[in-house]
Amino acid sequence: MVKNYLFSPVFKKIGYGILVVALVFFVLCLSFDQLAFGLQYPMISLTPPMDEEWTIFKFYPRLTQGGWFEIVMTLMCVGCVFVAFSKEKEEDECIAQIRMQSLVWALMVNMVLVLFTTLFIYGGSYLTCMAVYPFSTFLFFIIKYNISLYQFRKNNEE
Amino acid sequence: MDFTQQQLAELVGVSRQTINAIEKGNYVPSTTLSLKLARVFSKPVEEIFQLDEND
Repeated sequence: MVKNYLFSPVFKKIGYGILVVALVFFVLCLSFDQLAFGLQYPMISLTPPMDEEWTIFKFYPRLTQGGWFEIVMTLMCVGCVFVAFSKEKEEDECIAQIRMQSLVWALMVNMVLVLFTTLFIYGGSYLTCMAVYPFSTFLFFIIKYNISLYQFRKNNEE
Repeated sequence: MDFTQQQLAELVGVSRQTINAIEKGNYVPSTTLSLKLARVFSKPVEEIFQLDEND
């Protein structure tokens, strides 16, 4: 038996639920001034304040303020992983192959986007794009996987 | 031996669509699945699966 790292099928629904909540928080954050919610809580930062020089090999643990951003990102990470990497109810090796092919496709498409962004997008927009790309990988994968799975089932239905 | 695709699928632990895909030549099963299918039909694997020209 080959080991895989997938969650049980029920996690797919939980994942979609988490993503919906994350999306609601995200829209709320965009629509209103974050400070209006007054959400601030202590977090530990490993990097110095913005105006200080930082090398990646040095850590400067200090207290900082967390906000909505950290919550939304955490929910997005967990939700994406649950949706993307849950087993199907009828899991077998053919579905495992479809999943693997979709993942390769999604990574390639995303890397083309990363390359394009690096060559043609500069400044703050570049950082924004880079914050989106981890999740776009999942989005591409989830879309491609579901289309492939639908086609596989439809083509082999009769 | 007469099986429906559904019965065969249940015997070897895959979905019916996978059996259909194998029959159509759209999916090449793993060694494990090939051996399971051979066991169900009580035949050597080579009698059920052969290399085709492009392999």
